[in-house]
Amino acid sequence: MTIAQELADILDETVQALSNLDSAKLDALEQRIVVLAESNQKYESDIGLALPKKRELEIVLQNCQANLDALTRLHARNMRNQWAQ
Amino acid sequence: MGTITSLLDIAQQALIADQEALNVTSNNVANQNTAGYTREVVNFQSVDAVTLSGSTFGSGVTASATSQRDRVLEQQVQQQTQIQAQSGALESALQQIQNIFGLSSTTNSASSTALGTATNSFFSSLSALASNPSDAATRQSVLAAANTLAGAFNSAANQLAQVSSSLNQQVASDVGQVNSLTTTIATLNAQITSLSPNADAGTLEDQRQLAITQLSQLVGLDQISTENNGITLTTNGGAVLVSGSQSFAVSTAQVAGTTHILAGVDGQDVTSNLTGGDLGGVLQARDQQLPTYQNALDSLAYGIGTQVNQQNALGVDASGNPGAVLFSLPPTQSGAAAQIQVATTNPNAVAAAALREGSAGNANATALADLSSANVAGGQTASGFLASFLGQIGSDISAATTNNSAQQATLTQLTTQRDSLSGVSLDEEASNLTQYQRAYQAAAQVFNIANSVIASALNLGVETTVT
Repeated sequence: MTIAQELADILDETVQALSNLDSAKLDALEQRIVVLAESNQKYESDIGLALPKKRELEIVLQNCQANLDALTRLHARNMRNQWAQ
Repeated sequence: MGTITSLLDIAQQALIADQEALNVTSNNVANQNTAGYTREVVNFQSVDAVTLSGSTFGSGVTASATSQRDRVLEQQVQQQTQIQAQSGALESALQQIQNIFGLSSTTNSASSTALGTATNSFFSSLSALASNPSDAATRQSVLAAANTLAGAFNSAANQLAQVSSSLNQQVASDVGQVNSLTTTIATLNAQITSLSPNADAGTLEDQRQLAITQLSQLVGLDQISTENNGITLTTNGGAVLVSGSQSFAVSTAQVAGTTHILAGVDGQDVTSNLTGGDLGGVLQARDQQLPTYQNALDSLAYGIGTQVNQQNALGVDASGNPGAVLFSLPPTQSGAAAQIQVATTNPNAVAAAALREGSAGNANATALADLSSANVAGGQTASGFLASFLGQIGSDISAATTNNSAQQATLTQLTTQRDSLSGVSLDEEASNLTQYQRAYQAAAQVFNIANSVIASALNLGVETTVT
């Protein structure tokens, strides 16, 4: 498998693991990306394969952050309202 | 001190409470596949203790069920449902447009598309004419290539119009579904307000939540909780859809050939500020993306047609007359791709010769062929403009696909979060069943013992069965 394909697969699986809130899978993916980084292979071609997946992961992470912020804020407000009653 | 009868009462309450718990568990298991069902958990509450002569005695238990609902998380799911439905509808519409131009993940050259091939063939036929201006067959092939080019523009424009038409139908279909759902939600609002104004309404609330989620797939919503467990729904532009037990129907109107949406108390036109859901995506594709593509296509058709006509008018045709128009076009660029036609069926009408060159000359044919490298639209050559145009469509589709995948992943994430709280876990229910069964058995045993104690008391210490 080329480094491009491996990277694309890892990005795909990362999005899926984030969707399913699978922290064990995310840990395993972290190990895979560390191994890939340490292999010192050059990413020479097929950049088009990974770029859309990278963009997809970025959007998912941005949404995660936004949702987490919203949930934290709204739960804090709910808690304040409950204590105020 | 407690009496033997109070022991019986306590045991009876325990039996009733455990049976209630078993019922709740059974109901959870039965509804494990019911869409929108929120699992219920049993809350055991000890009955207030009684103090007699300085001693305090417990007096039993009651059980109640509450739905495991997180309203904040449910609203997040709804918001994300709206975003994902919009991105999905946009992607779907753009894929239809992609198919019109023959673009795919393997087609990355504008010249290999039908429009690209037709454009290149037309200019190639003019080059061939420049080499052999007197040849009737070559002249005929120029007209044939011109017809093919005009046909390619007509076909693409007509298919874009068909996409626009199908998007209009989609708007009308969505509006019908919106009205059905808002009516349902208003009815459920009324039931919830009358039956459970101060607490979670259980199944009714599940049904309302499911209907709101389905509505979120159609249109962007803002949700406001009101008194007595009611909900007011508006479009994210502020038009009221549901207020308490009243729903406000959305309607459509035809404005200049497009379906507009009227909503709210006074039926205002909300088409331009409606976002989210399938309607948001359909409107984005129809009112923003599609006109851009139609304009670009018109620009290219008008640019080529106008430039060719102008150059042909500068030459002399095979009969020695000044060149006439080769393409008939509308007076302005608008609609050019749909209306462009070849204006003549006479091959001799192509003005291959320049003025004073004689009708067998080729200078004007060369000038016509050179238009392939002239700027004809948007400051670009025909092939350059087409490449930019198709590249833009491909880029838009790619971005829409990536965005939709990401939004779907986020929706899955939120749904997973919600289901981990509100969904039925069979393992957990199995564990609960065993626990409540044991509790029921223990309560029954207490009841038996109390029964036995009463029998002993009634028979003054001689144990017999009281029947």
